[in-house]
Amino acid sequence: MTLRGTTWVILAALAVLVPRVGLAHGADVAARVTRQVAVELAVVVEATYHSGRPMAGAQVTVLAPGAPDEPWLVGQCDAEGRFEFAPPVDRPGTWEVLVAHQGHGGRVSVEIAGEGEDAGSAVVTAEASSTAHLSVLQRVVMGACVVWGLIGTALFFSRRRG
Amino acid sequence: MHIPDGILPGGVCAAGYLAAGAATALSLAVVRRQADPHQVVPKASTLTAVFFVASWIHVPIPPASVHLVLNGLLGVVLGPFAFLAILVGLFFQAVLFQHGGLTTLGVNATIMGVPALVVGALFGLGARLWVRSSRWAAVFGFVGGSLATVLSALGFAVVLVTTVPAALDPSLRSTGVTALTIAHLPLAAVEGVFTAMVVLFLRKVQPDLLHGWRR
Repeated sequence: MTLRGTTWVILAALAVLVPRVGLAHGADVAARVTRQVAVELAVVVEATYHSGRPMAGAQVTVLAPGAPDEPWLVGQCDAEGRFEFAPPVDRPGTWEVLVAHQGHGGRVSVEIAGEGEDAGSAVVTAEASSTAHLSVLQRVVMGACVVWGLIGTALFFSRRRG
Repeated sequence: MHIPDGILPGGVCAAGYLAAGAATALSLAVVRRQADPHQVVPKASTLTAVFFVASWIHVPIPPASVHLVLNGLLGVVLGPFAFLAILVGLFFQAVLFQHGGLTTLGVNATIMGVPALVVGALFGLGARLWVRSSRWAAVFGFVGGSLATVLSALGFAVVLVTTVPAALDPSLRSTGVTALTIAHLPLAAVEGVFTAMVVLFLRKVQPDLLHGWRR
């Protein structure tokens, strides 16, 4: 088969293969702050695999600001992969939430403001896999680039010498 | 089988990088002793692409979902090159698709690459000692493919169970990890059959491509 023919076969194979399989092993952990009242705060953590399957039963560890070694709270996600907790508003700083299930998982950070007008309010500052929300097309193109790079390397080293 | 960032303590990640560094150095040393290392590069590069893509193919085995690893196939075909190929493949999976992670790259490379090296060494030895009949080729291919998967699943389980952060419930985590490890047994069979098929095919069309089969 000619070189050009090989290339098209590989690209066609990728196009057929990739959209149907999807990545099921990466995990997304997202958090949102549901109530922003100065006296009470609730954070809901939602953990799903990239396939959309909720991380039901995942273990959750909440770390308070300034105490990275000692968990403030431990718990488990429910069947929908959700976990809710209420950090005290009088403890400002960055709260870390770790989610782990069967060796997969991630972490999110929730920042609770301490001073000024926003005192007691909270924002989600970092989510586990912010770059994970890529469309299928983007993933296919990225994957195809890597595969093509590797095949190009193979072709380079297999060229005839002299 | 890819451990993501944020699950393992820093010390374990560092130890993973140390182990992966040692395995890389060993692989490179062995590769350098070959008569013409460049000859293997096209094969290694192509199989890196195969390894990179293989993790997209999922096999749902309740309660978990596992994916092809193909580290046994890489070991059988590439021998000492297998670890390097797996390292490169894992790097791209981690950087582009967050499958695995950069801090855990060393751990993951060790978990998946060292079994590939073991299988490659065994296969090379087998090819040298035994008659190269198609029956033995199939047996070695199957054992190679499945053994690498089993070893990787065990390594994965050992790393996760022994590095439980104090906060997590150890028994809960062991249950989850045990379920995932058992889910890899059917995968080991699938990988074994696949590797045996590839070995039989290569033996027929181009036996030179198999590690240690060069006359």
